[in-house]
Amino acid sequence: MWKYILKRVLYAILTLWALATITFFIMRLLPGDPFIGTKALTESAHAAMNAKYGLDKPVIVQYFMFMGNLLKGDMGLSTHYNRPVNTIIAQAFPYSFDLGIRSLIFAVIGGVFCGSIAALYRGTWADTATMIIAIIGVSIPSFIMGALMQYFISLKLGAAVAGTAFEFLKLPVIGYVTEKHKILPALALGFGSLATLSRLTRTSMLDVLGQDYIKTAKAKGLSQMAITWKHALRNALLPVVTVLGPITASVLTGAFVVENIFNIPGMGKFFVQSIQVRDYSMIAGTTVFYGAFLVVATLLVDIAYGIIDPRIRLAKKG
Amino acid sequence: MSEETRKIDPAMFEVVGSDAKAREAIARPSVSYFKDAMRRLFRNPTAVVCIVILLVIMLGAIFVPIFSPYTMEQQDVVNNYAGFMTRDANGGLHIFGTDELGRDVFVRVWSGARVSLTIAVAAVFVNFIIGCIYGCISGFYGGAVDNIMQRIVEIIIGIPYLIIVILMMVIMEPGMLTMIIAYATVGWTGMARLVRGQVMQLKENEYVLAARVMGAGVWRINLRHLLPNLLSVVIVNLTLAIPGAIFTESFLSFIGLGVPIPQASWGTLASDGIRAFQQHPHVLIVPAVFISLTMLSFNLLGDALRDAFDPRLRK
Repeated sequence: MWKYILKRVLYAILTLWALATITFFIMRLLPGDPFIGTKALTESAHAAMNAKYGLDKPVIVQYFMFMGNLLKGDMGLSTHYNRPVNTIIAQAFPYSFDLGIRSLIFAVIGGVFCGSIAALYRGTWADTATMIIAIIGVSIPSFIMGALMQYFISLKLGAAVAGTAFEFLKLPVIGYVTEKHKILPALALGFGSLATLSRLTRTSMLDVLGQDYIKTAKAKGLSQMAITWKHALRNALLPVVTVLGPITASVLTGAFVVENIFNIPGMGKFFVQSIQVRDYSMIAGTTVFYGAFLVVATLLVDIAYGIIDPRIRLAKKG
Repeated sequence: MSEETRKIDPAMFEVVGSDAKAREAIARPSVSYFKDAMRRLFRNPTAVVCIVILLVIMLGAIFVPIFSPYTMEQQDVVNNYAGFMTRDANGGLHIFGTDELGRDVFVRVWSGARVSLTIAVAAVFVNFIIGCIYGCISGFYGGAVDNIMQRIVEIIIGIPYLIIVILMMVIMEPGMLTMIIAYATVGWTGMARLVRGQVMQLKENEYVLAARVMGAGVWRINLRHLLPNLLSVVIVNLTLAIPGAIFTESFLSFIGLGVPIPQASWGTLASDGIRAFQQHPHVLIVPAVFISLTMLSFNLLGDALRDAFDPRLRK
């Protein structure tokens, strides 16, 4: 087990290093000069600026400076916002994290529930309905889903219930202040993952339900409830855990656009804006930060999987 | 009836002899694995509907921009945000209405289909080529080569691919080719893993040994013997990868890294649509329906292909 964890940690570190290196060299490849265009600089001021940021040194020295700064957690200054990238991330990330966690919870609970229902009632209308929802969910990009929800739920439904007893159903179109604001973005962002998870849970659950130990449990006279919860679901969830890493990644990158649509002041909004204004240090900083976050999340999922799956935990002992 | 009439006279028969060749003749044309799978596929109504939808979209993407009375850039500013089926001053019909600059949405969405589908199909095809070569080498040689190659793949998979794609799009000239390159740089890892796994299984088969005994080289074994056998798995995977590529394209266009104006893809149309949809929903709904319908059809077709190639998986 320790060997497994050590191996995963090593990979995570290597991945982070590769990501930081790629980011550095891509940023070096950019045409132009970071100080041209901001203000008219004299020759000496330009040289002084270059010296200050270490741009007069050879690339390899710059590379180590960049890596050293990263290790210290310093990601430079955003040219567009004129603030340290760190400050912007510290301010924006809580919003993204909050949104991400909400949609993850929605996706996991909803997906496992739908998938299990579909598998338990295979071939019935419940199965068909769930799988139709799932395939639609997989096929609609989150930003389109978000926009459609704004239109049909916030605007149309909101207008329909205005002034009636159901006015509490009215949801705000944009913003991220109250709990009501947070419902639609989380749903829009989580829906695709919910669909993926429910398809996966269904397949895995069907596989488990065909196993001999389910037959044994039935023969022992266990109730349907006990069989589903203790024998089927626990085993069916193993493969589901493996995709949590990629699902987290897709939720967090999906947040780029969903935050834009709902005007949430999270990382995604800053990231997209920094791309649009070509704010390179902000792009590099956010990329490394996002990458690091996702790598760590994937690492935690891998370790969790190792702990709950005895085949991995015991692999080296036998 | 008497006894005599019941007896059959042997003289009524003659020996025709047995023709060894005719006995061995094949009664029906043999059904290859691929043909069998296709037959199963075309019996599946969902698959047929998906194929028809995709064909219509592809043909439309090719022909509608050619035959349309409007061009993509043609503006009719007085008539902007016209609804479905409106006629302009000259009596021309805007089937899907017009957008913010009075451009015909119908011709734009089909031109967008050209761009989006070309990018998606080309990107997935490049992934297929790189993934197959990488996977074949890694799986066929095994040992230290495989070990190193797989560690590299694991590191690349660890990096969220959208981030790399975004970084590459930032530094390169925007355009279709850039998008394909950016997607292909990181997108091949899944295919490489899949092919490697298949090759490792298949290379243990007797026919590979037989080919080797007869002196077939590495290339011949891979191309002639291994590749055709892993094609079914690869085809399913490719079909299911296209929606991902379409999604990536529209995602990138949405955050402003798409194809440059005046070109339009489904992603840029949708992102233009999102800006105005609260007053004029049709500018979003049209590209949204096209994107979703195409992704849906590819997803369902992929599932159907998987069932057709491997009937054991069904039920």
